[in-house]
Amino acid sequence: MIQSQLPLLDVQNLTVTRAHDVLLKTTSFQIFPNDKIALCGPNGSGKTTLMRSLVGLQKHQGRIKSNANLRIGYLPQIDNVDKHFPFTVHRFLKVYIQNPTQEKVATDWLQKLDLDFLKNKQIDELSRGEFQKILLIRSLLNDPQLLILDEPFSCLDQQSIQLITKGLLQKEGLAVLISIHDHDWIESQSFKKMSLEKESTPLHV
Amino acid sequence: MFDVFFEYEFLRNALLGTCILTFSSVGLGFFLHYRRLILATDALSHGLLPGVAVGFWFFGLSMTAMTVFGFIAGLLVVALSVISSKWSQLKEDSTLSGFYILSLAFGVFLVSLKGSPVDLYHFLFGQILSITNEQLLILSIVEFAVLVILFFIYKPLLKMTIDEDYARFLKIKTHSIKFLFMTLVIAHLVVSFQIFGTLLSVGFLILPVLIGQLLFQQIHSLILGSLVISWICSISGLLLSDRFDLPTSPTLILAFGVFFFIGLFKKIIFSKAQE
Repeated sequence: MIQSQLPLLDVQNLTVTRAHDVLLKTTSFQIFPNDKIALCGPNGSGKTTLMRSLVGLQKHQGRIKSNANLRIGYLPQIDNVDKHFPFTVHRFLKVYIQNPTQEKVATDWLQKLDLDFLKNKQIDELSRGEFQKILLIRSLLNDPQLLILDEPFSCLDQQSIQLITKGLLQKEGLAVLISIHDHDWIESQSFKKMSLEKESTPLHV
Repeated sequence: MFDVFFEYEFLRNALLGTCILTFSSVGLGFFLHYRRLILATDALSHGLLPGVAVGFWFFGLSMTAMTVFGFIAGLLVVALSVISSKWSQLKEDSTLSGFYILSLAFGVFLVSLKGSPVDLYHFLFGQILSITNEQLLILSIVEFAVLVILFFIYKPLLKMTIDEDYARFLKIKTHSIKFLFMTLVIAHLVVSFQIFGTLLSVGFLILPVLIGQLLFQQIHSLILGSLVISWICSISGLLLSDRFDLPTSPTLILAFGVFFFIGLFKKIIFSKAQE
């Protein structure tokens, strides 16, 4: 399909190396508004490395071009949050909230995901799944145009997965890049498949 | 009971000094604690030695000279450890440990070349009961500056401390903030080290926040609680040491020990009740 819009991200010959190993090598690709892309590949094929490169956390060669004002929401695969921090869920989100609009986003999503009852709980008392959803809400605070989610469903129950899929990922206009191993889900949601191979690397969209 | 503070200037200065010390100790200690840098800070306080020795070498027992050179030595140690950690992918506390021990060795080397008069050791390890008005003034200025700068970097520093990767994603200049924060720690250490000695300056960084973490669950109550506990320990430690002629610095730190054990006891009871 020929896209008439400008791409949100234009990626040219992205390569990530460590010492003499090539961790990731992709052909060029673009992400447009409303694109729904599922990133597939075995463990170690570079899905996380690709996502970290796209959000500016990974040194790389090649070019990633985007509009300076592009709003990206990012959910990392491994959360590095120190859960012993003396915070309730509300206080934790508040650290990242910068204005009343973002406050409303947080409140709305806490309601939508049935997490209102967690607001005053300490973050170290949450289950992995509950905390995953809180981090997802954190990624939505800036009203992203492109959502990059690294294995967001790994700790979630079916009900939450459906809620997030229908209420968020299928939202009109929102571009989504999600790494996931569940091929049934990809097909049922009509996401485009982007495959990374282990020995680095052709990329198929 | 409290009239001794009005009667004796040395006790009044000691109390004023510890009260000023608590504000920045709790502020910096909170972040050091959650950034797992508390013990590295103890190490760092010894890494200032070559600077203090150089200051002493050229200017004699001048607090200003030793402070400035100690500060420069500390900055060098931190800069080298931050930069080498960035390049080598080693954890910062590892590189910091390496550079501090080299710095300490170099400091001892310099001091032994010049000879080591007893006075210098007094200067290096502080004397809480002989704090002068000039020292109080220097302490106030430095600690006030530390708190003001800490206030301005509080938000990005908090985000970095909670989740450093995500802070980088939010385009926070983590290496610069980290360096600035460690600069504040050095400024705090170099002054408090000379006035109060290593036991009190490091003790005030470690214990209040640690006790606060045991007793309180919310960030604001933790910080406020840590401050109040520090003041109680300062007052009671000074009064006890004066009344019973006890060594002052250890008495103050042991006063914190009482709260530390209360906190531990509370945490253990609380955990048992939850099981």
